[in-house]
Amino acid sequence: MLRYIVLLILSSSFFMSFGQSGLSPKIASYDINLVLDVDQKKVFADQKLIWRNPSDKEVSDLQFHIYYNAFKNSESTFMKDRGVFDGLLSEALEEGTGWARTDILEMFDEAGNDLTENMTYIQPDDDNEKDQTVLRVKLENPVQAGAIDTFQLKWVSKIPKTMPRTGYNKEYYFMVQWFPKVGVYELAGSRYAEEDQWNCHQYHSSGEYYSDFGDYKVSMDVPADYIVGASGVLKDKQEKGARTIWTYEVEDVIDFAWTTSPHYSVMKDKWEDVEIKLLTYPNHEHCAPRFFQSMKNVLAYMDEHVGAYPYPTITIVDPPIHGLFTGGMEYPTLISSLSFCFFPKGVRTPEILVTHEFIHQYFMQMIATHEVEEPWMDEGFTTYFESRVMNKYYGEYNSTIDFAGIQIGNAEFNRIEFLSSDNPKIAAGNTKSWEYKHGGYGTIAYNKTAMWLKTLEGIVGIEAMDDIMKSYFEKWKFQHPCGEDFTAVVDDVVRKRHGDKFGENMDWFFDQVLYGTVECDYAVKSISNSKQAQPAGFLDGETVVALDVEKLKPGQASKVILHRLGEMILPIEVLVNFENGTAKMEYWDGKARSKEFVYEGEQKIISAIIDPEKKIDMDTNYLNNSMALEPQATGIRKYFVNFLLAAQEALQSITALI
Amino acid sequence: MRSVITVLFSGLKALFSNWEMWLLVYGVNVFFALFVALPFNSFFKSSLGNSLAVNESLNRFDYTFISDFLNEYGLGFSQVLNQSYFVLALFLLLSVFLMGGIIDSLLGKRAEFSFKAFWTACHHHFWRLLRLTIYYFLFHIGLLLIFVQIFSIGGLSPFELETDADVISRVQWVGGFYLFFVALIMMFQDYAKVKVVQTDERWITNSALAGIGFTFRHFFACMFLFIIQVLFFVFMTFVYITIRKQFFMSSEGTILLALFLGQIYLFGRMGVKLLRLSIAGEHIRVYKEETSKHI
Repeated sequence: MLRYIVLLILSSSFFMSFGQSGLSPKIASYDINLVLDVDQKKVFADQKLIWRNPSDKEVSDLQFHIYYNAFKNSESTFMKDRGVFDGLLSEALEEGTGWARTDILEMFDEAGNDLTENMTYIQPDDDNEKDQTVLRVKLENPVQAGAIDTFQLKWVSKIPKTMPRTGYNKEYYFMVQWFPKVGVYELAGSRYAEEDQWNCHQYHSSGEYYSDFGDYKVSMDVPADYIVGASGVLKDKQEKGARTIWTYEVEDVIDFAWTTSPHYSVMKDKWEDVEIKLLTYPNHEHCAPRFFQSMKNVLAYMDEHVGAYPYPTITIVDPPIHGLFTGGMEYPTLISSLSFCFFPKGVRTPEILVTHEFIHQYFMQMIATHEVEEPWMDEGFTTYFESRVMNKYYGEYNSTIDFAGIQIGNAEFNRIEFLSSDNPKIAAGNTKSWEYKHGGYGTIAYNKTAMWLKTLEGIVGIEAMDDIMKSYFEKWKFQHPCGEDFTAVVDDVVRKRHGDKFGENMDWFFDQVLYGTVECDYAVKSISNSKQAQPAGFLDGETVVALDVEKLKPGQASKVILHRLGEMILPIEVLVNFENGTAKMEYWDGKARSKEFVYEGEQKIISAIIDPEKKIDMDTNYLNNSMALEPQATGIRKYFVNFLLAAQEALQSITALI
Repeated sequence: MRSVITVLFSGLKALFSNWEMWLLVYGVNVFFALFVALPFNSFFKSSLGNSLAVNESLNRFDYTFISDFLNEYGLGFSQVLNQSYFVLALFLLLSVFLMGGIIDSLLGKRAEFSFKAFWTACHHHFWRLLRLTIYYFLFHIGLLLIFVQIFSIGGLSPFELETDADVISRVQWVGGFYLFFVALIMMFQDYAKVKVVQTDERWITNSALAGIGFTFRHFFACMFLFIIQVLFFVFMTFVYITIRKQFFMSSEGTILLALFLGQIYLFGRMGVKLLRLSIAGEHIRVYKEETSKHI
């Protein structure tokens, strides 16, 4: 009996240790052998899923994402969200090649029970019965608390042509969200879960993915002349006649992506111990130094300001022009960028994409937030760091474009993207991706979040901001935090660094920028400098003292009046400049609708500037942030001359028609 | 070749001997441009003349400044722009009006430039030159549409392209041919204008056809002269841009310098435009003289 007890303890400790080693909890691991049929555009796969029940209760069903079924028909939720007449989709859909599907042919559990008949499609988000992107499998033997079970699947996929993010075109394949992937079993108390439950959303047009950590071993059998790139490290390559089997492995990631084409040119570089691999097309090879340099920049920056990148490789895929639909995507240790054979150096799209997509290795890959429910947590954070990285290495005012005399910085570009959008108030920052029914997903999830993070940086200081990001990374890496987990980190760090300066917590800030739609606009309304008269009137009750304009009090009263035009309330700094060259920095809690600063003395105010260091990136109009007593003659003349010359040029050019 | 060089120099001579007309053309340009720029200046001054952001944006291309301006004051700015479309249309008509006087003066019928004769010729040839302008405008539109169609053969969808180098090679080939045909139409137009003024017939068809005929008969000479003028323009533009790149308009001095350089450049551009007509006129005249000698 004792022997059995010892054996039981040993075996359960073995299973408990599975998934505990390494960097992540390793909830869902996969071993997949697939064959790519380039004639039929199909994948045939045998897939082993090793799933650990993270709960202390048994789990009686599994839920899988079947992403390719989003392209199965025009009635899927994805297609209804996007519309079949979307420019990207319609061509392939019209010719019939865009439609795709995944069919699970069989599924067995560890005990050999056939689960194929237990599969049903469910629609947790919208009850759209035509949507088959979430598959529920009722288990014959529930997975016991903390236990690990293995499931064997056989499936076949028809690959879509030129669908968003994934698919094939000509001989190029970009295979992402391509296999039946188990959802996330959330435990009560984690994120917003009130009880242990599956979190497995249907595939929507906006927003992306959410998965658990695990290890992947994927063997891809492709035609011999095709070159394969994938997440992780190439472990084996076997040539078998007209076919080659490429085996890649990667640990502690939330997903696996791969790509193949016979035209790939493979180039390599290194940053410290990380191998940087570039898969590009021959006529894009000249862009390789740009890709490598920007990757090295972002690796170094994130290492210093957030945390270490723990994986041995990072692969950049530079798709051909007919693979445009797959550019600018992020998957564990594999990202896609974009370049053209004629890309001017001053147009930094390849650098921006490499930077942005790599930062996703932190925000949604290692810190595995929910891209669908809280897109701001990955896209917004990534956009914020994108600006920091780009501005550091390419310059604050030319990190996005420095071409033909036009210079645009990354942060300013993001700010204007948001402010110039049709309706910056269309939704709050914490809106779920599929709830952006009428626009705003890009500008709010990406740009607005980046703006308020920059504003937070301005308010609490760059050191505190770095501390916030490092603490957040350390605390939540390889886990699934939600928005409240991030704000809690902010509260902790701000309290540690600033005490009660910003109140008990930072809710006042997040309520406005994240959960609200209010806009921020502070303005200098007026500056005045007036002589002070001696007291006059019925000063002692009976005798009138006449106002003597000749007899003035020494000195004068100078006044700056500020207005709060927007609904947002933020603490602001105001720099007041005096005639004798001195200046005074004032602080205003920004709460009242207006505020004045009055100075008595000999010196006149010559100008006043709200937020002189431009810390408040949320301010919608910087032009009214300052005012000078005298018109800014030089600047006005510059714009007049520029406009005059432009008008003359236009008039002269039009005479070419005569 | 000798006669072509003669044409070039006599064209230059005709241009310089009509410098008053050149100045007039420049003056009209400045006048109309001020019609657009002054309202902008007053709008700009009243909206944000006292904002420190105006002077802060002196040292660079300030995207934030420009974007905030358009976001906040875009409505007022677009009103100024809308007004400028009207000015542009008016300028176009006036330029057609001036064309008759310009060509008449350049043809060298008088020993000295005369404003009276200039205005008379403007008035006399206006309607015919307007018709010619409309016809050639339609030719240009037609040519553009044809070449857009040619450019699109094989599809423009990036998803259909094998490689983006296809686009580059199309731009090179189709763009090259397009520019050639544009140049051809411009040459036809220049010689046709001269013929319209010279023959002074009510209907312009004969003159237009004569212009085309002359261009074809002397194709290489016409093309050579046209290319020389294009090179003048390219050289001037290159020098102007190179100098302008050397400094920012960040002080009163540099703003004045930019204005001065801009005016010289524009004056030069107008000169090149006038030179084209002058050369066309001289070319026809020299050819006529040579033909009559042979007879």
